[in-house]
Amino acid sequence: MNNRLRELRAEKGWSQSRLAELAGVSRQTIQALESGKYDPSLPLAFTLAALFKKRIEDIFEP
Amino acid sequence: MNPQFEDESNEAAAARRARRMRRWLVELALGAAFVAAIFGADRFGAADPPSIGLARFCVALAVGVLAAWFFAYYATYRSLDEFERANELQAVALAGGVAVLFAAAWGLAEAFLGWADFPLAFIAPVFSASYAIIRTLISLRYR
Repeated sequence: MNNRLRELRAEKGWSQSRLAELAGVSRQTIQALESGKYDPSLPLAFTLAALFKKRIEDIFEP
Repeated sequence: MNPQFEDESNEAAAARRARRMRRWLVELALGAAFVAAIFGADRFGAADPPSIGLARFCVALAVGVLAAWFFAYYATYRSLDEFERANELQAVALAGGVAVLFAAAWGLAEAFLGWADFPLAFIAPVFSASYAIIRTLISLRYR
């Protein structure tokens, strides 16, 4: 699954650690998401969408 | 600092390393205690005359250590996020497969090729060693 996490994080000026802290996950999880090696659960996708004030489909695409 | 590629602060990295080291030390201590207890049970149980009291103590210690190992792992597992849990499950499943394969292969060789007896209790360290190697390989994939 492709996603715009890295781009959106850069717009916010957040580090991976900062985003991980806000989302309540580890930095490795953010790294795996950004590199497309891991697809998030629905609850985590909702959390990320809320953090970026976007819809899930604006961040993740199949 | 480029936020696109910046990873984690020194404090966060140090805390992560400390957590990993603490977990590794606890598991190493429990593993060593387990193996020592088994060797103790073997020595005292096979002595002439057998020190059955000491052998019982060592067996109880080995079982207790194994239980502590399990609960320590479960506590760690519960503290992980979904991605880390997925990796843990993958590592445990693969390590379980390796341990079963090892036990079955050794059992066959023992039954039909005259290999030395392999105590079933040693499956725990075999599983643990497999798990440690596999977990490390999985971690490297996501660095």
